[in-house]
Amino acid sequence: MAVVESIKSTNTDSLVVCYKRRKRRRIIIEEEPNDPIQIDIEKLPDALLFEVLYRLPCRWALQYRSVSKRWCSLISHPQFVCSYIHHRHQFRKSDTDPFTLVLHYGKQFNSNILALPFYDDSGYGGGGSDGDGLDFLNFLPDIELARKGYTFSIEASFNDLLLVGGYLSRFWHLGPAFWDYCICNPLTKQWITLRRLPFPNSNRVVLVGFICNLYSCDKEQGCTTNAHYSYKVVRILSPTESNTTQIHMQIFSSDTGEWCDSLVSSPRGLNPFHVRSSNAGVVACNGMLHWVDENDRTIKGIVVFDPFNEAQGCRYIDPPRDLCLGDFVYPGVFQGRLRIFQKPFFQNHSNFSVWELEDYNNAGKWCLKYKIYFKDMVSEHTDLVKIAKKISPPGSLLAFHPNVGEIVFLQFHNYIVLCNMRTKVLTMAGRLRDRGRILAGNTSLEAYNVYAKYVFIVGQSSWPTPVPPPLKHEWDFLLILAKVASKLEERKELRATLAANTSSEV
Amino acid sequence: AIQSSRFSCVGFPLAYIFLACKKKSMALKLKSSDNKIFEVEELVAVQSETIKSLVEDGCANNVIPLPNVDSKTLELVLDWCKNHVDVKLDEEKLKEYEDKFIEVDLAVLYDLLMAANYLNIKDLLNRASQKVADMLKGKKPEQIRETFNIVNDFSPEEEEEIRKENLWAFEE
Repeated sequence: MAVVESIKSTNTDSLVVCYKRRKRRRIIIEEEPNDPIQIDIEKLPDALLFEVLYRLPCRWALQYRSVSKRWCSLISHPQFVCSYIHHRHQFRKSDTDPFTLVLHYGKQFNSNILALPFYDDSGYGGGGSDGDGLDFLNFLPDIELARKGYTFSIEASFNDLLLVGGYLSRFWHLGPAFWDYCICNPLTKQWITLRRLPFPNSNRVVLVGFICNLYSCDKEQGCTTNAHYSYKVVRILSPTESNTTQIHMQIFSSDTGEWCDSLVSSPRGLNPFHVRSSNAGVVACNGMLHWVDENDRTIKGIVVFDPFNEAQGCRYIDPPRDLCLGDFVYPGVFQGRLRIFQKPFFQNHSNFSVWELEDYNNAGKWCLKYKIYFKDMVSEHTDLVKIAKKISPPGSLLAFHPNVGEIVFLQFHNYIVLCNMRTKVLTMAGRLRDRGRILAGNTSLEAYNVYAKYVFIVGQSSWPTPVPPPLKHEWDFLLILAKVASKLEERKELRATLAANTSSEV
Repeated sequence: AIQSSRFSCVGFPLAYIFLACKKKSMALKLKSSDNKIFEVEELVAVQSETIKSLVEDGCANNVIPLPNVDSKTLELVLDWCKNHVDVKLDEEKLKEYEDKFIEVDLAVLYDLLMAANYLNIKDLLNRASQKVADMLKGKKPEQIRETFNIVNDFSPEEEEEIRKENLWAFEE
């Protein structure tokens, strides 16, 4: 006969306690003949084991692919990464997202890489502790060549990926000269090289942009997965004369696997790249590439280009009105918002300003966020204060802090400094080295000026971005299969419950 | 019955209100795999999406059989549900309760996981899966196999291939 147990709503947890006590007694009795009771993980249905596995940190999940074929198939499932990312997206605290600040500097054939990890709890061992720091990229086949004088440079970063470019000129080798580009993930050490590009005959300055289009897995929550993405590498060739409205670009698309020459139209005539525009580099923000247009040492504006929509041509954003002749201007990005770091050429470099673009999708409006005078800066490091108090202080932008809006990375001679623009407090983040030798902090040589173009924020995605991305049609097919399977499973369960219910009623 | 008799002496209007309220939160009867019957308020039981869909389909008038859940586990699950009727009530206290609740041995955890999945109770499933994941974390694959009696069905070459694919994850 059925025993009726009436459970009234009482808000005590006594039940748990007394149940546990009972359970323990039962276990003691059962333990005697058998091994200690274990959760029989192999008896868990796939769906449940899947629930458990995507809650593991990525490092462990990837290791457990080697446990058994069943575990491997669950963790390799395309839905796995989606669930993994989605689960974390719900509990995300963006101000502690780990990232690595990567600097590439030095003379052409004598370059150094410095990688400074922040909030890092796994993975990137910061390169640059000794040697030239190229160890950070030592998994790339070209790095050995680089040590032998092959010219290479880090061109761009996007989330946790880096674009590295290099060339062999015909004077060095007997073979044909070419440009080589490689996309890599420094954490997983995966890389691919793009199809080689013949070395151009002209000596035009080229700006290089790199941008990924991530696959959205939950549009409502704005959650995207990096498990599948497409990307573009854009080489923007400097206009040969001022007022050029057709810009020559070479665009590599991951969809076709080919380079393609394009002439992109611009509503306004653009000027040949000069020192300021080349040192500022290309900034990826909101799915667009941005670079600076300058003429006669004056910033004319910011050019915006969507490589996934070439036909649309370029857009042009006017700079803040207060820019003066000769100002140093670096565009940057903070959490999807375009920013400008401005340091006046006159007034003895005594201050800098940070602007943020509002109303991005329309005309755009620059809003002055901070204006800081170097003389107001304070720090525990007397050296830093001394530098800030100089008549013509050297501080220049390295990068905007990706998590905290009021913090910028500055270069103070050979010091890498975190500057809080609200409190005006400077803290030391690192020091430049040359071949492992720490450079004197309070002096600077031209060779070690690190322009914003050579500074990269390498994010650490909750799941590392795979290189190369899986092919789109394969990915779609697997996702559809997975969805159908889970729907079927749900139906089956519901039907079983209903069937059990009706049978008992009869 | 005790409560309603207390109300009866207060007078007609109050008793009427009480009855009206009581009608709203109907009691459901759930039958465990070992044939024990649990009587619970609908509000408690419908935290299980499975039961909720049965109620919505009008299939919950009689005893609802739950052939996959034994009485011990069901007792625990219902206790969880009762404490989650009003989640906004006291976050800290709820967290404390959850932490205590989930501190069970592996066998119970396994039962809870299965029940939470079958009854489709999202937060319990979340909590129990996280607990199992926390227990796995930090063990090497060989230790996982040993602890859970999992047969390694890879050939040494295949295993090496998988290690190579994600070498960084295996590095200390």
